[in-house]
Amino acid sequence: MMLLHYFNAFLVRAVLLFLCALAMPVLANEPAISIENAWVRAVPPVSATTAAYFTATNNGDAAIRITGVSTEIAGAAEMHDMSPNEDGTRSMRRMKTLTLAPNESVTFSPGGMHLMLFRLNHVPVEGESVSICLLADDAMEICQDFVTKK
Amino acid sequence: MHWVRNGAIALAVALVGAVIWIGLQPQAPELPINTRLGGAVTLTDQHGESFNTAALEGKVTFLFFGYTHCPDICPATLARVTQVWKNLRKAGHGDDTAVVFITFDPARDTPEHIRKYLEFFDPNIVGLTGSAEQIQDAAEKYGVVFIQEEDETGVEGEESKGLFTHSDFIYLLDQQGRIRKLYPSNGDIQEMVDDATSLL
Repeated sequence: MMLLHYFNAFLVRAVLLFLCALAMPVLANEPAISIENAWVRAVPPVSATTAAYFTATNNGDAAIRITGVSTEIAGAAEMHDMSPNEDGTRSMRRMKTLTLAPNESVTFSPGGMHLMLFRLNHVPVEGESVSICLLADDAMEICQDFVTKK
Repeated sequence: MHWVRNGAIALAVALVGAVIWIGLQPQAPELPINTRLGGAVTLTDQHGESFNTAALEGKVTFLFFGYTHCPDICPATLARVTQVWKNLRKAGHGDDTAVVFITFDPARDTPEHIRKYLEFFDPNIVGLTGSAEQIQDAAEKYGVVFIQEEDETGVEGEESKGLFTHSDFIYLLDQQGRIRKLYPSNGDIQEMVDDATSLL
């Protein structure tokens, strides 16, 4: 009986280990970047451009370099930053890449860093969800639904 | 009869006290008149008609420059000023106030395009465009700087060539069309409402 008891305990542990092993690849594929407060600015239907905002956090142990943006509703999408000039104007600068250190968060917000969506082929209406993907090194793609609001 | 007399005295004392108390309250300073910038400009409105901003005299006006292909600051500013105007209307000042949007991108911002664009915010906003010379003249009067990106010395990337580097102040004009205050594009809505109300 005692032998059978140990065998059952071993069997249970073995099954648990096997299930964990099965789960590992799934966990490994979880994106290390989480995105929150994602929204697209609602703009007039005749608009050719709009902007999108979010907060991204690198939850992983390694730095992640974002290299691009894509969405089906725009002909092109880019990361931009807004910088003040001495004459009181503000310039937008394209950011070709953005590196997030481990545990670092970055916020894209109105008047600051933002995603530019050019040549809109569909102007989302208030309340509509738009899928926007951040492209990172190693072919990593982090897609998120952005809600459209004013 | 004593209670009538005493009551009258108490009421008089209370009234005098209230007047003194109100008089001692700090008053918001009157908004200064900007004598360096501003002035009436003649442009074309969203209906294709000639429009001289002198026609807005008698109204307190919020005015700003922008362009409809602007993805970030301009639609946010329009939404903000529209909310200010909505609040003023709720307070009964709809007929005494106005909002004016002047484009510095006349090549793309035709009257028809501006009309459709402004309908999204409020069709009663006055949208103005004109020739490049007229726009430049209006911008100089208000100290507005705008530079269209044309090559890689400015914003990088092909997509950015239609963008402008620009100043983005909101101007508060009094009933004589004089500038009384400038706000940043993310100016406080209640502050703008209060300032406009103080000029009415």
